[in-house]
Amino acid sequence: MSRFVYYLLISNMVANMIAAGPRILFSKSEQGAIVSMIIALFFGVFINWALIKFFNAFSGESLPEILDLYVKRWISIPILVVLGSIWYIAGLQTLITYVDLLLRFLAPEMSVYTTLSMFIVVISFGVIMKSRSILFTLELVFVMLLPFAIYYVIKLYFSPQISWDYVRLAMSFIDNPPNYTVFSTTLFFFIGTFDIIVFNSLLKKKMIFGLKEATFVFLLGAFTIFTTYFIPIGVLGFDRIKDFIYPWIFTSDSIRMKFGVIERVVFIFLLIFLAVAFLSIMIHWHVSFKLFENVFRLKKSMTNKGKTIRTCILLVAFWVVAFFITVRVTEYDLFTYSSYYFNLMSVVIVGLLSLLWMLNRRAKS
Amino acid sequence: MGELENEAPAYVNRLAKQLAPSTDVVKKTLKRKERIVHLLYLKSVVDMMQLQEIIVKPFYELSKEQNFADYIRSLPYETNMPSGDEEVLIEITKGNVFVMIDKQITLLELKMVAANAVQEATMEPTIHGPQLGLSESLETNINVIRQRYHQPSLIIETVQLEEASNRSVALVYDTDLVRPKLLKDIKKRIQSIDIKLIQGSSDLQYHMNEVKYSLFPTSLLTERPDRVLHNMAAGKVIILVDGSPHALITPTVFFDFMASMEDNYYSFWVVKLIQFLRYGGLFTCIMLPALYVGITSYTPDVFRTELALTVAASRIGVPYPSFIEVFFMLIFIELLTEASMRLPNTISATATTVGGLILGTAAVEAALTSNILVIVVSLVAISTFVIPISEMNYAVRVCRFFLLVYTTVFGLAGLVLGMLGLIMYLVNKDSFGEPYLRLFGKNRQEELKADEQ
Amino acid sequence: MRNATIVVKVLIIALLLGVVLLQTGCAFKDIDKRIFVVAVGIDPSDKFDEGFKVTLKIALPFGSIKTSAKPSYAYISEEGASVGEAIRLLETHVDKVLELGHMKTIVIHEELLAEHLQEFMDYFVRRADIQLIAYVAAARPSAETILKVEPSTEAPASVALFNLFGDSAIESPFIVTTYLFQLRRDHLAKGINSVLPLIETNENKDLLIVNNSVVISRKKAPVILSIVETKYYDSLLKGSTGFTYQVENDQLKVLLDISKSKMSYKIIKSKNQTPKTIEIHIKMKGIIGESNKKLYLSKLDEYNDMASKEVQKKAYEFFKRMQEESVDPFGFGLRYRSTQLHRSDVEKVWANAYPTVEFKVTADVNLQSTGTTE
Repeated sequence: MSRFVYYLLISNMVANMIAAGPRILFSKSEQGAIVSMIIALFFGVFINWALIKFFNAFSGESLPEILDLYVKRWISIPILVVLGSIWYIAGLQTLITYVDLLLRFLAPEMSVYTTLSMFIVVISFGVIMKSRSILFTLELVFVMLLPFAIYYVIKLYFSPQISWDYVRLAMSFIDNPPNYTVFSTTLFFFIGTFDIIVFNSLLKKKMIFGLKEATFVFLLGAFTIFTTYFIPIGVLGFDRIKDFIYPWIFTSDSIRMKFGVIERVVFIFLLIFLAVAFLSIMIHWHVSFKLFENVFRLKKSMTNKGKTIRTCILLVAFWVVAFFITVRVTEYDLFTYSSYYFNLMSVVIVGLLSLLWMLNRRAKS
Repeated sequence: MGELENEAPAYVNRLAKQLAPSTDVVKKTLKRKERIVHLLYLKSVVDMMQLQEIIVKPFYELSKEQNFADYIRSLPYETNMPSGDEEVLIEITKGNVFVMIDKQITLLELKMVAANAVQEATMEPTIHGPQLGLSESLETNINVIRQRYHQPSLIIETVQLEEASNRSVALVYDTDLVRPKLLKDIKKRIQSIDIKLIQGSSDLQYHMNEVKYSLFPTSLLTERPDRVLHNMAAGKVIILVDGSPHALITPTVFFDFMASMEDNYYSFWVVKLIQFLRYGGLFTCIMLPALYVGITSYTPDVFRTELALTVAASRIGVPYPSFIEVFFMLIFIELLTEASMRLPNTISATATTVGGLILGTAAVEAALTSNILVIVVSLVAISTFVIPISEMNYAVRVCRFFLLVYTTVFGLAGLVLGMLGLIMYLVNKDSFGEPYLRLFGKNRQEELKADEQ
Repeated sequence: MRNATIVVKVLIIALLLGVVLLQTGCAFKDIDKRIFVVAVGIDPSDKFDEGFKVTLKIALPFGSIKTSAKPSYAYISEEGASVGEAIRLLETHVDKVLELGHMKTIVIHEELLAEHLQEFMDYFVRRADIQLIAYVAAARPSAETILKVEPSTEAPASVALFNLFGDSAIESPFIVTTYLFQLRRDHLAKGINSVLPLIETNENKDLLIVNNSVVISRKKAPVILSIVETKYYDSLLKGSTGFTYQVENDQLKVLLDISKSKMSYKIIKSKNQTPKTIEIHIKMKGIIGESNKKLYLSKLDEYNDMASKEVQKKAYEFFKRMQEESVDPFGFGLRYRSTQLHRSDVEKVWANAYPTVEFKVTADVNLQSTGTTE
């Protein structure tokens, strides 16, 4: 697997740690969260394997290009619209969460509009940038953040205040029957790879998903899920963890750097996650943008002016919807709709995989 | 018949006429018995001693049996005869001597270049490595390069610019290493330059740039032969302009600007430490002013309590909001830097001392700025100079103002987003088809090829 | 790519215009326009039946820190029906922004611990700008008196209350450090009780004395731990070092200087999963710090035995007392819950069994030297 695919996977995993994901997991902590997470872990590795395998037949081609080759236009348009909206919402969900976080923790007196507008220039630029540049940015930012991230993880696991008794207590609920919402929320951690429906046009080399890659994805997923679920429990306790809206912010606010330049780790956390969340929004919207671009393709060859107008219209539409929803949505809405979205998402993923399977058979015959 | 032979042929006359009003045009006819040779040259660019030794003396010394025309043709100084009057004239202005024997024409290169001495490297001084840089003459520069790089694959291609000065431009590259598409691209850009006058490699660099308003340099000017070779060995194309002591390296990406030649001369851990300092300096000078505004005016919770109290105490009495304070001090420090560069060396030290020490202290005393900010700004000023290449240095100085504005409006989150935006801008930029900022894995060549498809 | 750059340019211009129009600088507040609250004290109110009296200790950044001899603080108090209301009122008493982000010590009047703790804990956790790593402490005689103590050892721009609990200056086994998040976690959990340090002052009000602590429980009045108990709690549960202990034999009296202590325990269950005994093993390592007689290096084993017995006895008494008071600062109940698959009646089983559970304490003190002399 190309290293960029791992970056896509990881960025999505990390961005999910702060968004609505953990809260949904904790809300079901006494109703089968653990079993569902384990099932989702295995299924997550499976969908990654399936995706890479199906795309193997089309190395160097993105999904819109493949659809053009094998499917009639009236079938491909609804598919692209559905996928485009799904990816748009994935980005929007992260954006809303992050705007909310910034307003609550970093700049409480700032207006929603100002907070949102600071994202406009950079994200718009990212969305219309060359796809290639997105992958390079991803790589660069990861390398820059890696030392901080490693420090942060070590600090979390070796904090003297963490109480492993609570973690064991949470594990004692392992025998509960699984829950679908938890399953799909956990599965969402693994869909980062699915961004290759657009980025595959840059990955010319044939990708292998063998035992080595599967083990790596499995370990990565297991580590992320374990950290996301159990570390906040160890720090914040088990019995009332459901009350926290952003458990991860509180978890990092509970870590103290005795001799650091900054005493409160929460600020490092907020800024690292801002960078990762930003990347995640940018990737999701870029994918969505590319998919929509293919929907609104009138003729085979469009003039440059036509392309510019299309870009503008799409961007304006993206931001108008984003503003409209962000200003209106409450934290409760965000939580409820996110869980609906995750539930829907796993169905869409299965649908997408079967579509790819069909295309694969067509390509072979 | 004799009369006729004395007269210069019409062609020579025609050429001489076109050069006419200049006082340094020399039209000479050498005559000895049946032999007649017509010479045409500009005496200001031709080496008189050589002319005397190579043409005039043998003309009178050669015995009858020996053919003077054959002698001239065997000389190693001969340059290719261009077609058309205009081209011939250009060759003459470059220092060629036009020789006409009977009906046969030869151009001999007996150039005299005033400034062909190799100069000391002053812009990028290093302790180790070569101390001498390039010269102002193209031939000397090619000689310097050839002398250090003995490979038959080293190609020197000369292109003539089509503008007023008709400069020769040499493309130097290793044909085994260079990407063919890149070479084609560079040649096309040089040909398409449409400008009245090119003075040297720095203008050429500006005009070769596709984007009109750009901040970051996409090609690197250097005077160091070791940097030239270092980059050529990495598959880059070196452009030398006649009369300019700087070589132009294309394509250059961000990391080339952050490399100092000394990195090759020290031991591993020393180099790692220096590089760490350099990148640390880069981040400091871009982010620190913005960080100061972001923390003091938006999120003072980030500081430790003790530090917050100290900073708050130092700002007591300062009438302006932090961002005006920072702008004021940054512009002050930029002025100081500019001034000390323009002043002669002997005065500049005084200017910096007076400006930096006395004004800084006075500004704090007068409660115009806080003393913490004076520390911040001096740190920024110092770390700017850690960046080895001055073009990048300037670009970075501009960037930090951009980041300062973004942070002033949006706070600490704005700082992070602005920084990410800057990274994205750099990644998306390209230099002759090569991404400006990217990390490479082991499969660097593979990725580059994939891009080209 | 060209059209993309045009789009970006248009966007940037539109955005900058928009921001200039919208941005009225509401979030932009310079650091010298804020004042930093370093500690909050909560006392019962005189005016309101159910209300509180909130005192804020504010650090003032005065002139140059190097030249000022003493730190300067301002104190403001207000009464209100709730903590939040009182703080809102206090915001109108000062000319600058009341910044609670550096508030790192919450001092609570002893009497309020029993009933009201959850109420104001909720306020502190809910407010996003208050750190969860703030220290919580109980105060005697009142929070206000404790806050107003300015110890003579305090230096400018360094708050004594932070140094006491922060572990970066003094580290002593007599000082229990409890962070706000720990308090919330343990207070709301079933099967563990949280412990808070108790701050007292001397008659002259120029010293802060912290060597007792309080075990708080949601169901009953707080239990005060004595100096010795506090020391045991800290070194057994948190492995605090510098633990000194006096051991007496017939004639010999020595003082141990413990550099390492560790406690491990196991809950032994009977067949129907009810807890029967708790086996506690204590391991300590250290040197002898003081003696009233000549010591012999060859006799270190004897001293070890002597010390082990003493530690065993004192620890057993401590556990027994906690059991009698029916509080559980070590979290035995939590451990019991976590060692088995979850059942709905698990907490009830523990609650019934705890008063009768047996403790088996073994101690293993390993002395390494007799100090610098024999």
